[in-house]
Amino acid sequence: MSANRATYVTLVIFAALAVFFFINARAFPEADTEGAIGSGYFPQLLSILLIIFCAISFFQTLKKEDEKITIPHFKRIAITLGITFLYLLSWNFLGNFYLSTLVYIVVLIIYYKKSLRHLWLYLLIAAAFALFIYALFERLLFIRF
Amino acid sequence: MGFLEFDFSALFTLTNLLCILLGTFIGILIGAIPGLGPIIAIVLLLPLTFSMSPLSAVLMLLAAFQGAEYGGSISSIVLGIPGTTANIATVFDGHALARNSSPGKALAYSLTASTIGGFIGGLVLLFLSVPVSALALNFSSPEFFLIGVFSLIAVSGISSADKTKSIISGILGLMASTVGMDMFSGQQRFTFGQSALLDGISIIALTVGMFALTEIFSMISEGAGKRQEGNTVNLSTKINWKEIKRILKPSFTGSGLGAFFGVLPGIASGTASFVAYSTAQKMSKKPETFGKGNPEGIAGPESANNSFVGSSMVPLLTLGIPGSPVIAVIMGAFIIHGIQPGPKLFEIESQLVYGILIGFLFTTVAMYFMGRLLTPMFARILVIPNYILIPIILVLSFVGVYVEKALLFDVWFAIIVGIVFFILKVLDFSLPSFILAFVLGPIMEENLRRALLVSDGSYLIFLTRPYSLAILMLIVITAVFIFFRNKKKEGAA
Repeated sequence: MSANRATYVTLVIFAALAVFFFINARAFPEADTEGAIGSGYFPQLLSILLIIFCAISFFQTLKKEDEKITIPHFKRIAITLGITFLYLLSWNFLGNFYLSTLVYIVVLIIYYKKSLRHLWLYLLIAAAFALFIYALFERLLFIRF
Repeated sequence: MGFLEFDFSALFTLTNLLCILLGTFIGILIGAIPGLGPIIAIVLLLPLTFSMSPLSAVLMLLAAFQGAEYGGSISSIVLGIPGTTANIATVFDGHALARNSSPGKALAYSLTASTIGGFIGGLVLLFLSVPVSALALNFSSPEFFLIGVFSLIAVSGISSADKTKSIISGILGLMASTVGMDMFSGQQRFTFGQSALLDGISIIALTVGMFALTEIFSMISEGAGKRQEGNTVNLSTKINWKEIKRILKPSFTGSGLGAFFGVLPGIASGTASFVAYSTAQKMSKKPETFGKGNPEGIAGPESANNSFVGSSMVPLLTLGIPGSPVIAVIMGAFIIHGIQPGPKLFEIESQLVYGILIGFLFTTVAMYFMGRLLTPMFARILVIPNYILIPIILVLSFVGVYVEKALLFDVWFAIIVGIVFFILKVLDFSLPSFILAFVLGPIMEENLRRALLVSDGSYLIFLTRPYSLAILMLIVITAVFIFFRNKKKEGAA
């Protein structure tokens, strides 16, 4: 992907965010005390500054020589995120945190290693780690998952 | 209260000592893994601090910072890959000495220099904090607001190649800090009806997303199936007096430089290490042997990055302003415990402050002994393949975020932050500027509003007070310096 194009898109998103912030902040009530500034003043000030610097950066990028951005193994990151979403959904809806964690770790190791060899070792590592979390957080710090 | 009135029994508790040992262990371990630096160690430890006393919590995090700076040298020496940016300069002579002679000897030089640096940084923290905080007591809202502006400009000036993007990152960080309930009026700002956002954006979710998850994505991008190869034989860190004498001069010089850079906001420990390396080379009787395994080339940068740790706490404790992202996260631990760092802390929480100042010296002692005993083990851990490290760090990150409020909302939020900042990092936006601005935001807004309240809305208050005028001039000088340095760099390119 073109670095300059990605920068333009990002700057436009930031500028839109600044406009959204500014409009929202204008709706905040003014301060009652004389001379005091209300809760919307600081966010409005920041919104204006953000728009100004986004514009400066936009023009600087126009003058910049373009280069290509590559993220090696992008697909692997995307699949890791997909597996992570499934893990969090199972933690949220099925509720069995430790089992979900064990499966999540083993699935990721197998995916990265691209081999089922030493599966028992990976199961052992995942189980030991889940046990460590249980001992530290649930038994010692009384946090339930 | 002064040092003499400090109750040492509050410091020498079993809990505090165990926290220092745990922080040191995790710090060296995480620092030793290439790519994972002190900030990840601290972010992963932060959730454990909820149930601790503030003193135990801060000492554990400082011990982790200290340990990670030494731990980073282990991978620099054994693998030739710097563990953290602060250990890049150590690779030149550390890895060369490990290849030519023995990795253990190179590690021994690093550990000794790190210990000297740690002590000097601790002494700077101990003796500089009280006078600076006494001076800071003269400061009022206008000065604190301007110190915040100064810190942001200083960080923006060095944290990214693109200064404008760095400033944008800082503004975004300030905007993120306004989310939640307004401290003056109780007005909800940008919470979108989410009760989870009433207290603002969770600093743990944010830092885990920004630093731990982006680093994990980078590790996956660089090769999740990767296993590091290194020389893990002959790792004993024994050193004799003759060898120690050889590195005393560069260690003390490096420590002085590290302590100086640590006090300045916005300077990273990596800069201190590089300056210390080149200074050690200039001062050496055999400069031509640098890069070929000269122990002085290990001692300079390693002492600098460890003395940086202690002195970088000075601006936080005395002014309430963090000078670097790592210190910003440590400030998070103060905030979690409802403590606002700053000059008044010496009066209100004197037992805590003196506990930190004196306890910091013990984090160095812990680092030395743990380094002596466990360095061979840490060096072997380096060869744990990424395909095992990545899932474990991912789960630790999620658990760390979850335990703060027992909300999965924060975990989802951390993941989104991780994705967004991974892209922003690729586009050269600055993560240090963002996190520093996020932590400084509430302080800056509060002091700006207080200053304008006192002055009936007039901005002249920033010009009419001598201290604020002096800080304002410092801001202008820094901004002009950064602008011209940038122009010069562009011209050279």
